[in-house]
Order: sequence, then structure tokens, then C-alpha cells
Amino acid sequence: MAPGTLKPPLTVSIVALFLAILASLHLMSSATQDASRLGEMYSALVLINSLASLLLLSLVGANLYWLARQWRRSVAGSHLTTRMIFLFSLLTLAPASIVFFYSMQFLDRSIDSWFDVKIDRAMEDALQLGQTALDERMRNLLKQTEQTAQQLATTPISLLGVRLGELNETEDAEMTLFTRQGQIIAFNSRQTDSIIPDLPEIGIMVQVRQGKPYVGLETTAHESMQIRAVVSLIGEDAIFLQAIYPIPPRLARLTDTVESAYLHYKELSFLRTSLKITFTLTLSLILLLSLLAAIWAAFLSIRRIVEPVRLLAIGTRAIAEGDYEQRLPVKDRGELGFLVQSFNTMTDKIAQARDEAQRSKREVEHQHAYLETVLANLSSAVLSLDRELKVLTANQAANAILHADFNQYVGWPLAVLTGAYPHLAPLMEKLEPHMQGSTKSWREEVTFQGPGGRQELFCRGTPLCGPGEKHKGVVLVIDDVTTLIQAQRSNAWGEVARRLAHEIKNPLTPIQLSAERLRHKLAKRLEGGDREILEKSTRTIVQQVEAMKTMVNAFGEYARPTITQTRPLALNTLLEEVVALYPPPSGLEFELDLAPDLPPVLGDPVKLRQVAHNLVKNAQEAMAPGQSGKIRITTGRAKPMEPPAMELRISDNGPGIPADQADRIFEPYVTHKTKGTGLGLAIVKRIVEELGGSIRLDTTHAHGASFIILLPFAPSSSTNPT
Amino acid sequence: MTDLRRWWGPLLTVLAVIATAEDYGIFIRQTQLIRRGDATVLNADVDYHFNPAAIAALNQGIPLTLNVELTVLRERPYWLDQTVLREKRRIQLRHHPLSKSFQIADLDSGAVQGFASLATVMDTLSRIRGWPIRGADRLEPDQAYRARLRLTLDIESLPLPLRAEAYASPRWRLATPPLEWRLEP
Repeated sequence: MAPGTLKPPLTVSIVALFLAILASLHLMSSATQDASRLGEMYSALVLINSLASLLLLSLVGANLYWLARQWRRSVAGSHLTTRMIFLFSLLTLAPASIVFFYSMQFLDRSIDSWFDVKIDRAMEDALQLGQTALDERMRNLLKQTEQTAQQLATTPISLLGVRLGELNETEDAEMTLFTRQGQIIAFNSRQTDSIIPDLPEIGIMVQVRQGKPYVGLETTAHESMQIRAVVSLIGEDAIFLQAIYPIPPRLARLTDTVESAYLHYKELSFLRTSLKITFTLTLSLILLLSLLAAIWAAFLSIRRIVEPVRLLAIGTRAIAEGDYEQRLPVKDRGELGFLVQSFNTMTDKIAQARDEAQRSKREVEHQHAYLETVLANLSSAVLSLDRELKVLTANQAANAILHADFNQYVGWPLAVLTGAYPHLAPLMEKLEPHMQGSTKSWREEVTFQGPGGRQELFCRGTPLCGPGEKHKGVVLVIDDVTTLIQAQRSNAWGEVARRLAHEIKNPLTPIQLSAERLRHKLAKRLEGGDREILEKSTRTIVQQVEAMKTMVNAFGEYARPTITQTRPLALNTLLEEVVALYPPPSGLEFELDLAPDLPPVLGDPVKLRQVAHNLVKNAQEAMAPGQSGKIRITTGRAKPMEPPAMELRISDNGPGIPADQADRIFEPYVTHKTKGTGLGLAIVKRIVEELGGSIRLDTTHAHGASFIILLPFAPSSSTNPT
Repeated sequence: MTDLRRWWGPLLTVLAVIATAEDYGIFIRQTQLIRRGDATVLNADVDYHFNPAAIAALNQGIPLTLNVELTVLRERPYWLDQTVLREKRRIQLRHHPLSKSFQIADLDSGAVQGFASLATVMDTLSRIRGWPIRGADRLEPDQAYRARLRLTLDIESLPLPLRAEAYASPRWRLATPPLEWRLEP
């Protein structure tokens, strides 16, 4: 049976079924009470009602099975249904059982009360009385018959018929004379309807043949009585006389009443137990049928009552699982229907609220993503910290500028961060006083010693204020201005160099020429010591002018905008060529460690040669006099985290570069050496940068100086290196 | 084994019931359908083994009704047998306490016969002689038939309170095993 709801046709059919059961029960009960025509239908009615009981039993059984399954699966509403069914059955069973029990007792006693020893005795006595009265009459009639037989005995056989008629004149009997073989000799009857004599049965014949006369009471077909007497004729034991006397109507009626009453009483007392069984059976069947019908009806109606509760439970479960689309059907207009309707309204509201929340969330997420993109594409490092200086957010640029992975430390205090990245500690120490408790924006330029070298950082901080001027944290914006400052310096130096070249170079030639002219004109006129002084002074002037020219040329070289002709070239070959120019007598010892199979770099061979020469010369000049210089040149690929480029490293075993000069080593006229113009490294830097590469001092190198140059590889589509 | 032993009791009870049920009943010893002159008559010898309860009921004035049913079938090879004639008689046994006599009544014709004792009643009922069968002229002389005689105690004509018991108890289900014989042409 499907756990469906009651539909009108079903209700009608249930009512019809109940009426049918009721009708059949009524019929059965009536049949039990009287033996009318219904009595004939009793067996059929019992059968029909038993079948109906079986049908209802199977219905109840199916419902119980269904309920048990629901219970085992803990289906919503099954517990309530079970409890209600249990209660209902209890409420139905208890009064019905009590009524049944007392009905049975009452029935038992009332049937027993019908039978009484006195009545029993009276019945027996009445019958006996009737029998005595009839016996008296039978004896008289037998005597009378015997007298008739005596009178007939003397009559000759030929006259027997006539004589019989005469003797029967006074009697209203049917008289027959017959032989031992049953052959009728004479027959006389006043009754018009009896034409054929009614001969005695074989048992009587046996008795009479033995000489014993017979007299007996008989019930005829018409429920009237007659007395049959059979005697043998005296002396003629081969001929018998039978006389049948009717009982007088009054006596017949009386004896009939007595007999039928006696029979009825006897029948009843004989059927006493059977009667009780039959009544019990009928009553039990009625009880069983009505109980089963009631329980089945209880199942149907309880299911209907529980249905909204079950739906509500299912709906609640669905909402708990996040399904707000559940709508429950409203079938009832009562309180439960109102409950279901309210539930539907509530679900609607929740669904609306959820949609609203989702929309806002999406918007926020969108905004967040947008902000994230903006921050990620910003070249400035942006860091936000909360009041306890825990990292909240950090963008990509922050990782790149400060050389730390901030994303791993989101939510951690700065102390943990500086523990993991010790190079951040000095920076944070400098910035912390600003960040703590400051309610105003601030800015500061900080020199930052990162793992990749010294960096100039421009830091700005803005406090984050919540409602009510409450300090909530700080936003740090950090710009790496190292390149900018260097470019500014470089530009300034270029300008100076250009000016120097222009302003100083021009007067140098007249000075030189004038000095040479002085020597030429005056040398002939002067003698001795004067001449020597002149010679010496002019030589000094010329020499110094020459030196100044060289210097100015160098400046010019530095300041001149170079037009570089770039093409792919194999750097290893170029380096080997350069090294070949420094034979052992030069006092330098080279150690080459060139990685094979390197792709060509994009560069100007002349300029790159100059770079190599300058660096070698720089090393050579740094050497203390008499010291044999060792220069190590290595090439290889740059580390994977940097853009694809070739790494060229040139290191020496010289005195190295003092730490305070390390950051300005590439500026013009910054030199720690006794020799040189102070422009060598500046030019090297300029050339490398023009080629799109970079140069830095490897500060981690322990003995001597070590320069690292990164040069971009030529695009693969370029022609092969020459 | 214990399981088997547990079943002995009920099994024996059932066997006993079947045995007693076998003891009571109506058994036809022999029967024949013969032509006497124009009429066809039925002769049969029947043994009656009424259960004591039935005899007691009779003595207490409850009439017992016997159904005697004769069916003649014509055999049809490829179809159900055709019923050519069906003769049914209802015979009632009654007891009259006043006259201390018994009666046999033919419920269809209304004819009654009185007897002084139950033994003579049974004796008379045992020998069915010359019962005329109506409609026997429909039987064709050169055709083979199958005859079936059946005697049953009619439970439905018992008083209502007794019926439930009679239906439930096999002792009350008094009927002949269906006896069939062939009627040769």
C-alpha cells in the first residue's frame, strides 16, 4: 500500500466496505437468534465474514509491515504514527475486550439459566403422562381387537369379509385380514382415502408370527397418530387381523403439543454446548471484524493526520541541508495546514535572504578580486598590518622588493617574519616606531641591505582607522628607488663629463702649443741652469696637459652616447680572445670555467671586449705591487628565478672593495685604487646597461672583488653567432 | 532429534483423528442400476457408521437428513463428461419419543415409514431396493455411461448451533467415498 493520502473515492469505498461488513454482521447475528430463512444462510455468512476478517487482517498486516519498514528506516513521522497506532489500538482493544468478556459470561449464564432440573423433570413427566394415557387406550384397543379376532375365528373363510364389515360397524378403524405370506383376505375401512391396506412392517410380522399380539403407536405422514394392533385369529395361526385406530383429535393435539415441546427442550439441552460455541463464534467474529476494521481505519486516518507533520519533518531536513526550494503541499485547512503554509512562507523568506547574501558575497568577492589584481600589478610593495603588527595582506611586489614570501606569513606577527628573513630585521626596526600607534601618515627613505645588494627604499605608511578614530592597523607602501637614484647620479655624471670634455679640452691644446713654443723660442737664448729649468717646466706642462687630455678623453668616452651595434655572439669565444691578450709576463694568471653549450648573447663585440678589458684592468690595477694576480672567469646560466640570461662572473684575489664603497663603486671617480681614471667600472656599467643587462658586486665573495654580469640571451630566431 | 520428538505428540493426534474419521462414514458395498420392465431402478447395499454424537442427536429429537445423489455421465473423449441425468433424494430420519418410534421420510415425496427401533431403520436404509430413476429413458441402449452414487449427511439441515461443530469435526462429515461404476450397453 502506497503511503498516499485519502482521496474521496477511497473514502466512499471504505464507508461502503464498513456498511457491507455491518450488514453481514447484522445478518449473521439475526441468523443466530432465530431459525428463519436466515438460518440457511448462516454458514455462508460465517464464511463471508471470515473472509472479510482475513482481508482486513492482511490489510492491517500490510500496514504494520509498512510501518515497521518506515520505523527501521527512521522515516519522518513513523515514530508519531507508531505511537498513535499503538494508543488507538489500546483504546479500541481495552473496552472491546472488557465488553466481550462480560458478554461471554452473560451469554454463558443466560443459556445455562434456560435449563433447570425442575423443568427437565416436568418435561419427562409430561411425556410419561401422555405415554400412560396412550398406553391405557392401546391396551383397551388391543383387547377389543382380540375380541374381534375371537368373533372372526368362528366365521368361515368365505364369510370373513362380510363379518369384518359387520364388526367394524361400530368402530372407526381400518381392519385387514391377511395371511402369513402377506396375502390380504379381507379389508374394511370407513376412510375413503385408504384404499390400499397399510400392512405392518417386517419387525411386527416376526413378533406376531411367534404368537405374540402387537400393539403400537405410530405417527402418520400427516403428523397425526394412530394405534396399530395386530393379532392372530384363534386356532387359525395362519391368518392375522390388523386393526388401525385413529387417535381422537383432541388427544392427538394434546400429545402432539407435549411431544413437540419435549423435543424442543431436549434439542435445546442437547445443543447447549454447541449453542454456546455458536454464539461465541458469532460474537468473536463480530468483535474481530470490527476491531480490525477500526485498526485499519485508524491506520488510514492517522496517516492522513501525520502526513503534514511528516512533510514538515522532510522539509525541515531539506532546509537543514541547504535546499530552500522545498515547497510543501497544503491539503488541510486546519491548524496543521496553517503550519505547513507558515513553513512555506518561512522557506521563501530564507531563500530570499540567502539569495541576497549570495549576491552581496559575490559582489564583495568581485571587489576583492579586483583590488587584488590592482595590488598585484602595482610596482610598489603594499603591506597591511593589524594593530598587533600581524601581516594581513601583501602583494607580489612586496615579495619581490623585500625578497621574502609574505603570503606564507599572513596572520603572523612581524617578529616571526623577521625570524625567518633576518635581512628584514633592520628595516622593520626602523619602521616599527612609525607603525605603532601613529595616527598620521608618514614617509621615510630607508637604505635596505637585501640579499641582492643595497637598495634604496621609499616607505610610506598610512594608519588604518576604524569608526571612532580607532587604530586598527597600518598600510605600508614601499617603492624601490635604487634604480631611479642611480640613474639620476649617472645622468648628473654624464652631464659633468660632457661639460668637462667641452670646457677643459679646448684650452688644453693652446696651453700645450704655447708651452712648446716657449721652449722652442727661449731654449736657444738661455744657458745653463735657466735652460734646464725651462726644459723641465715645459716638459711638465706638456706631460700634464697630455695627462689631462687623456683624462678628458676618458670623460668624453663616458659621456658620449654610444650607438651600439648588437648582434648574437658567443661570449665564451670573446672571453678567450681577451684573455689571450694577457700573456704570463703581464703578471696575471687566468682561470677559465666556461660552461659549454650556452646560447649566444645579444651584444656589441667591441663594447663587450671593452667591458672585459676594463674589468681585467680593474683587477690588475687593484693588485699590490709585486703581487701575482689570479683572475677567475666563469660563465653559466643565471639562476632559474631570474629572467633567462647568461651570468658572467669575474673575480680576483686582490684586496677587495671596502664595504662603505660597495654601493657607489660604479659611479665615476669613485675608486679605491692608486692608479686608474676612476671611470673604468662606470663605463662597464653603462655598456652593460645599454645592452639590457646588469652588473653588481658580489658582496658575499670573501677574498677579493667579484663582479656578476647578467646578459640577456639573443632571441632564438637570430642568426648563428660569428 | 529433540526437534523431531517435539513433533511426535501433534503427529500422533492427527493420525488418531484421521483413524477415527475413517471409522465413521457411509460406505456403499454394492450398487446396480437395472432395467425392470419399463422403469430403471437403483439397487444398493449401504453400510452406515454414524458417530455416537449423531445417534445421540437423533435420540434427542434432532432429525438427520441424508442426501442420495445418483449421477449418470456420458464419457466424451476430448471434452468434459456430459451429465445425462441427476437424481437426488433427501431422506430424513426422525425420532418420536412419545411413540418411541423412528421414522424415515422422503422429503421430496412426503412419504413416511414408521419403525419401532433404530436397528430396523438402519436395516431398511441399508437395503435400497428398486428405487425408480426418473428420466432413465434418456439413456441410449447402445451407449456406455458412467454412474456415480453418493450418500452424504446434510450438515446444512442440522440445527444452526450444531453446524459449526459439524463443519469443524471430521466425525460429522459422513459421506460415501465417491463410488463410480460403468454402465455397459
